[in-house]
Amino acid sequence: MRPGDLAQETWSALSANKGRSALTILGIVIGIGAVITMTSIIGGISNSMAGMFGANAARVLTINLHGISNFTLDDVAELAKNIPDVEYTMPKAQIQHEATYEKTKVQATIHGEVNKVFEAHGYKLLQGSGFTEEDEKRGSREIILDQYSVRNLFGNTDAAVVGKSLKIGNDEYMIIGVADKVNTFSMTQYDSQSIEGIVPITTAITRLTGNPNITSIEAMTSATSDADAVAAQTKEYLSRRYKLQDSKEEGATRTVSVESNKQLMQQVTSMTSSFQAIMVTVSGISLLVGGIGIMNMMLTNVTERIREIGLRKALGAKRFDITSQFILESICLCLTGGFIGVVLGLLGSFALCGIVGAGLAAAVTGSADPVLPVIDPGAILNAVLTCVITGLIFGWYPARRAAKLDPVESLNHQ
Amino acid sequence: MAGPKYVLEVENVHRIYESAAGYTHAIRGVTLRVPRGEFLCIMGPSGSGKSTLMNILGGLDRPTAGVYKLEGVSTSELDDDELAELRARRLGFVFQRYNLLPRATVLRNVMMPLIYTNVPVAERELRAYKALRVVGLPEEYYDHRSNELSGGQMQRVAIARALVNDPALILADEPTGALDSATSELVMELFAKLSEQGKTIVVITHDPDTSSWGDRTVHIRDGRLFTEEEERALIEAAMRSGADINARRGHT
Repeated sequence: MRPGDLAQETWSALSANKGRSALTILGIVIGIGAVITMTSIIGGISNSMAGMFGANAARVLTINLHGISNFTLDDVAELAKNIPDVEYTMPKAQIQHEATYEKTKVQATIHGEVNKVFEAHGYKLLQGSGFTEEDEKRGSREIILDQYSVRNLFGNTDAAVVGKSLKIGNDEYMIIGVADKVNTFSMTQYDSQSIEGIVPITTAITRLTGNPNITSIEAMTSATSDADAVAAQTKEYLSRRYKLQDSKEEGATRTVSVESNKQLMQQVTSMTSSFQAIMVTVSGISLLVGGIGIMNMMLTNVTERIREIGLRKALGAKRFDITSQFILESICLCLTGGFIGVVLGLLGSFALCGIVGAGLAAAVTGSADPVLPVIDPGAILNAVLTCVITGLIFGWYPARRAAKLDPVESLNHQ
Repeated sequence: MAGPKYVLEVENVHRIYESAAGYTHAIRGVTLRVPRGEFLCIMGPSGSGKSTLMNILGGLDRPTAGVYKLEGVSTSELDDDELAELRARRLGFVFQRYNLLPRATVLRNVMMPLIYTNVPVAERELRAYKALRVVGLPEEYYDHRSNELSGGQMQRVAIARALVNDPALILADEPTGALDSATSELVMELFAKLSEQGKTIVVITHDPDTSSWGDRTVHIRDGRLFTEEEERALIEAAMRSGADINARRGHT
């Protein structure tokens, strides 16, 4: 039997029972639709989480020093020189202070940073500009706020605030820019009584803390290096250079921890993968039920078409011809269900993200950008393959049953 | 004409069915030869074993004992797929209830045996048209679904389907059983015409009018075959003695 004939016979058989075929594939439609919706949304959440940490997040090392009182900006610069795979370092300081704009007083979280932090964490400037090297060197009284801080102080996130002054402690700080965010995890979106901003690190330690000691640093590793290996190298260098103790030692007071964000990113990936695995399992059960529905219909089909099978055998159909016809019918049913499922799944993921995307983003990543579904060609290909396999598995038994029918008994079947 | 003299050779064939109720000896030592071009009628009452014989002759069933050769090929030596191939290439079936696919057009029904022998599509259509012209079905019906036709038209389509693969043997099982007498006559005329054109035809029937169209008639009773003369002698003897014909048959 030629493939073209097989296709024509299959189409003829399926189109003869359109209503029943449509009901039969419902399970497959739901199963595949659920898989595609979940995969797209989880892909979107995963992207949002990756976006939260920045595009270069996996390359960033976080260094925390404990029990050291004389680690200055010079030491930070020396660290960058001594570890070849560290492209640049980002010393950090954080201060809680009261801030005042006109008569409004709020609690401010001020981050002392270098300008490179924008590149490292993917913070986007919405208004104004960042610091220059000159600003960093001279410790200028300039601040960059996040968009929600602008809302909390000035009424809305789009308010033109560049050039306005804010009083922090006894000093006036000029707002030179507004960024989408100035910290990975920020509460300004939810707490209207607080603001967050970035000042140059030199400003932070000279004017706000009055303490030149740096205890927290981030380091950007080179794109070609292994962040974990650079982390180990950095820890080894710092321990040797400053005679630090191993944190596992009992009573250790001078210690350092160097962690790679790669591990954090892997944890995020692992978490989303686990979530995805659970969803795929649940959807798989739906597919199994759908497959059983297909088998049930195919068995009914075989029973209803016993005389036709007998006739085909009398006219020369071999077992293979009968088997392949029924299996192809089953695969076509599953593929049609799968195709509809993929389309509905994609539409569903866009619809769901449209409805709950913003809330999902806020809940999972704290970001204001809504979660957008990700169309994964791999997931679609998997769905198609799953349909073919489901059709094969659940079509096999009815097809073999049809092929084994005795032609004489089949022709005499009432 | 090439090939063996006999299209069909049956030598001491038995068919015994085994079931929970016991054994049923449906065919008891049947021997039959049909030369090429003969129009043979096998006549017998219900339960005489004629359908069982038809299934064996059509390669749908195998004899329990004995030899059945179609064009010199013993069917006992063929596996299921080889038998299917033989049916597709060398046999044409006509059934009492037509057995057409209701959802398919007339043309597709006629072409059906050819899809199992991989005949190219263009050639299939040519052969189907030719077969439909032979049976005299007007061309306007070719695109109709088969369930839109009358009984006589359906049987013509079934005969065209039996002709389309140019078989060595056309087997018809009660071909007039579902038709009125006028249509029956038209169908039997068609078989006679095909026979005149050299086709070998075996018609199985219980109807003496139908069997009268054949070149030769053999009778089947209780799984045994009798010639016309043997059957007549049996009936006359039974009538003379008032005995049951089946009881007499045991002494022949």
